[in-house]
Amino acid sequence: MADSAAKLTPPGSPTASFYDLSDDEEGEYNTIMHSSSGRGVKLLFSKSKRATQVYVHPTSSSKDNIPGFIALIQQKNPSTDARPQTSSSTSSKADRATSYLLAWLPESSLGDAFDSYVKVELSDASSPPKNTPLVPQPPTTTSHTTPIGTYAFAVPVSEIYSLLIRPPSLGWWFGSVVINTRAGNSFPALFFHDNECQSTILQKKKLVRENFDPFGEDGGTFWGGDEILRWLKRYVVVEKSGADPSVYLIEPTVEDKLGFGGKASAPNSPKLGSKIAGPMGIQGPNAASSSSRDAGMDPVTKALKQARWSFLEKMSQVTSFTRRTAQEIVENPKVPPQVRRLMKNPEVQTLQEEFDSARVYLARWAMGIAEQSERERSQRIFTAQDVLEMEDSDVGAFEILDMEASNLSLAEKRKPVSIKEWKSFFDTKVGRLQVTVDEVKERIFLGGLNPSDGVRKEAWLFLLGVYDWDSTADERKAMMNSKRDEFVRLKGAWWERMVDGNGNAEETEWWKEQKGRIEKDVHRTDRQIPLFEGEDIPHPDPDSPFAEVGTNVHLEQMKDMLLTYNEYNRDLGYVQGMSDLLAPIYAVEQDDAVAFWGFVGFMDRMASLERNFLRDQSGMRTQLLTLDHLVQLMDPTLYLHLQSADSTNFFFFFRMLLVWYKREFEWVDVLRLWESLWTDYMSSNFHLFIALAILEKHRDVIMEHLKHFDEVLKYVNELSNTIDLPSTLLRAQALFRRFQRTVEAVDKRNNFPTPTVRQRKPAAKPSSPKPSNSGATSAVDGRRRPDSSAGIDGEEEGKGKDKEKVISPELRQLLSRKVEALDKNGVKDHGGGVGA
Amino acid sequence: MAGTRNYDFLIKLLLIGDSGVGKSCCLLRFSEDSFTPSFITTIGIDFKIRTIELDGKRVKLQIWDTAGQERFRTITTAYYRGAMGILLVYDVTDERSFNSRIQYPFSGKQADMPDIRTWFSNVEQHATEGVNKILIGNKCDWEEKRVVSVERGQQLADELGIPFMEVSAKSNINVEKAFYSLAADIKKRIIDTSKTEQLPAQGVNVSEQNNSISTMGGKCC
Ligand SMILES: Nc1nc2c(ncn2[C@@H]2O[C@H](COP(=O)(O)OP(=O)(O)OP(=O)(O)O)[C@@H](O)[C@H]2O)c(=O)[nH]1
Ligand SMILES: [Mg+2]
Repeated sequence: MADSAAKLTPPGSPTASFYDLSDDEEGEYNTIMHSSSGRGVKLLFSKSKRATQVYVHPTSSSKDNIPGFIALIQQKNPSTDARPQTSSSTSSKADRATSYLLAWLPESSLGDAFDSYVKVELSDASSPPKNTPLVPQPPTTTSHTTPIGTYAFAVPVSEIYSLLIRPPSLGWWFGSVVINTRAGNSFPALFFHDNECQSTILQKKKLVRENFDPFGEDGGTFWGGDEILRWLKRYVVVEKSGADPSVYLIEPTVEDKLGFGGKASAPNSPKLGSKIAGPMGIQGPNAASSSSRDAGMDPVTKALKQARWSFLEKMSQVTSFTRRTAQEIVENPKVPPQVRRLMKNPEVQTLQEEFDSARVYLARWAMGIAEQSERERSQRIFTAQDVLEMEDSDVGAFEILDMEASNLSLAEKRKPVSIKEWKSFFDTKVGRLQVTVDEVKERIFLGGLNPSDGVRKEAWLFLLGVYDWDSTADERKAMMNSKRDEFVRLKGAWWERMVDGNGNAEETEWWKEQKGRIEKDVHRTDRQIPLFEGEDIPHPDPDSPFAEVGTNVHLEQMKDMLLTYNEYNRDLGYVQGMSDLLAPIYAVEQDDAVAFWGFVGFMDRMASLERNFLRDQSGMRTQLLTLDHLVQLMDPTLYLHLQSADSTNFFFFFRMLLVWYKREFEWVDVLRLWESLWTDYMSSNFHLFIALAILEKHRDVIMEHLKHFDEVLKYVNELSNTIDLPSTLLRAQALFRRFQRTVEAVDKRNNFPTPTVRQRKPAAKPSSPKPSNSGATSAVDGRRRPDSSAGIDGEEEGKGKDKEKVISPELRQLLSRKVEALDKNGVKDHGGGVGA
Repeated sequence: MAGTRNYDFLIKLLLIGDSGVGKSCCLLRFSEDSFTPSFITTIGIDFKIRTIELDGKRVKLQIWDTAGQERFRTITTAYYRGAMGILLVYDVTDERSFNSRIQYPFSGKQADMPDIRTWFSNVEQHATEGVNKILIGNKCDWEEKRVVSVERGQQLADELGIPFMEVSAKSNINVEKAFYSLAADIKKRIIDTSKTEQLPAQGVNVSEQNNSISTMGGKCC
């Protein structure tokens, strides 16, 4: 092992990762290495709950999380020179590996040593403390036998085969580290709750100061797990696996390296960080100086962060929020000017009425500020960060599709599809698609369509199923002609019955009633859009309640189209919300017959998939239920909170799901969102991941401030028109991939208890009697990787709990990209649309 | 929700009635004293708050607004349960919103717009027993279009045994009065009696300060 280790590449090699880069800075690291070693072991590094928030999550409930320290410990003086050498002396590194222990110590087990751990953890990185504290030796082990997390363990570094490192993702998933031993065992994942961690924040600031790159080189944020790797690198060879970038091999042999597919293909040079900052980077001296001064946090955010909590606390104590009290707060010198300005805003006065205090509003507002600065910062490096994030993450189905679909880089793919590019998808002779449908869908899913060059007019008809993907231009022309004829026929049919009185009295009456309802809704739909704004023509029907106010030609077209749809699909009838769904299609197509068929396509999909408009509301119920399952699986902590707030009915998503976020996003964003959703590119239920993304974005505010259903509902309703689409889409994509992996992990766990893929893994069964391990944790343990046996444990005794781990059919459905038709009988089975 | 509240009582009200009768407009008039003719249709549920003073007590009204279309009734009835007062709204210019006797046997269809009687029986079925109700005829500013007379409104209210009032959200007629009178009835029924007698069963939602309010809604369907 030592020989091969000697041949291994030191930092700075093509495998260079973020961690390698950081070796340059080793001198500045917190090293607590001093001579005296009496009894006990030397505590070199520690990361704690206090300072770094390391937890074991034995169950899905956050209450059960076990706080503790992760520490690197040196056993009694095995080497004369305790001070580690950097890259030059790899063989001595290997020798030393035996003397180091990587340990997990639950806070509760520390006793008197607690103080030492805290001290080491918090010691200033630039000046190592004078003494290396000695602490009692934790029990050394190479296999994991005790119930997770309750007992301390220390694994000799020489016994560690690999570390599975999962960085935190998009501000939600905690980063985690799983220790896989050479004997083939895996230890429970250690989670880094970095958001509450002082030492990591300090470290992060330092990096930002040096690189102007808050995201680190591989597109992830700097987090506690990075530091574990840094520690280890001082003593042993740590190599990123080429086959799976989330696996780090400790002192790997040559075979190990071969087994893991050779060298990692790291596209990034160690200096990419600064490259990113270059061309796309800092704009102007202000940005540069502020981010260097405040470590990437703009002054507003910083001031706010400092003032926020005490301020909010004060706010919540205000019993009667009179003008006078408001004035007092405003005059308080500690209040940042932004908040002061805000307090003068009449909107706050109203809102505070509604919430008893402004605390919730302010919390959200504060989040918004933090986010805006985040966005501004990330915009500077948006493309690069994006690409890195996508390409560096482990290879999920999505990335595979990515790579297969085309050679375009991800940044290119996130540009809107122009009419020119769209035309290039079709051959020039007969106008048939000459690339794959998936390719086109991927482009639209990721980049959207150009909003102003007219490409939507045509592309939407494909997405909505009006045109066949493999039709020729002539076929499309012919089909549209006959569709126009049919539209005229359908329109004439109801007209005859209603206006000419050709139907019986009842029928005429029914149509009039339908017309009345449609009219009322059309006049209340998207009137702020210039197209629907005017009231310039007299109403055609002097008896209409809207005869006085007047109308415009587009409103009239809307009414006719909706009535025609009523004729086309009598089983469903007009349902509120339909006018919301038609308006964008009409606005894009600007032709009633064409828009009508686009709308029919949309409704067909709604009828078969989301089933939003069935009389018995079964479709909506299913969606809310699916969302419930999804949140339960993906964010059990938040779910528990929602449960305690009586909010797991997820009613507050009803509107979003019924009209596809029409009320939540600005008009232009709605168009962009819908075309993505119509592609069914990742999932035909991707809209539920949008819901999850919105929820996740606000989870902290919800958990901290909203205790009752009415508060949650109000909060979510008021998100309307404040939601940022691009970041929501990105988050939803990441969540989907996460979901996919979680399901895979759970399946794997259920189907193949302990697969032993690699020879070097003995069949040693993981023996932990693991308490119920929720999906969130499974996702961590069971990540797809070459050494697939590692990290999956706890099947044996966990069987009784298997029920909890089952992926519900509703959730499984989310993996499907198909839109299956529910026929008209299906509609009738659910109470039909109109009649009972 | 620590700390003291800036009100003495919390009362939950619910607006129901056909789509387009003007529920949201009435609520907007009452809570923000404004009117927008091209208001948007209500999808799902929402509420607004206004604190009023009754007999020297600060009463916080939490007023829930629902979607009118019958299709969404499974959703909206879930909100009946927590309500202490219900405003049954119809449109004086729309006969159907008041009384839609017309059935559509030709295709098994029926009106998708339940009238006041239908709403009333829904309330009886789903709301807390003894919940206070008031019948509201909206759009009384629009005399030329009126099809439901004041007398017919009053007659129906008498038949149902509930108070009645015509209002206009647009011209700000009687909107305040309607909400105040309903709130006063509720206060009389629940709060005033609970001081001398035992807290009535349906009154658990109301008590003096620091009461944590039971959640409206709960599981749908
Ligand atoms: N003339 C007149 N028109 C009114 C009045 N109140 C509401 N309207 C009009 O009636 C229409 C419907 O009002 P909304 O408040 O949206 O109706 P709603 O009952 O909330 O309807 P849903 O949300 O669909 O259940 C709007 O276009 C208003 O302009 C009123 O007092 N007078
Ligand atoms: Mg409404």
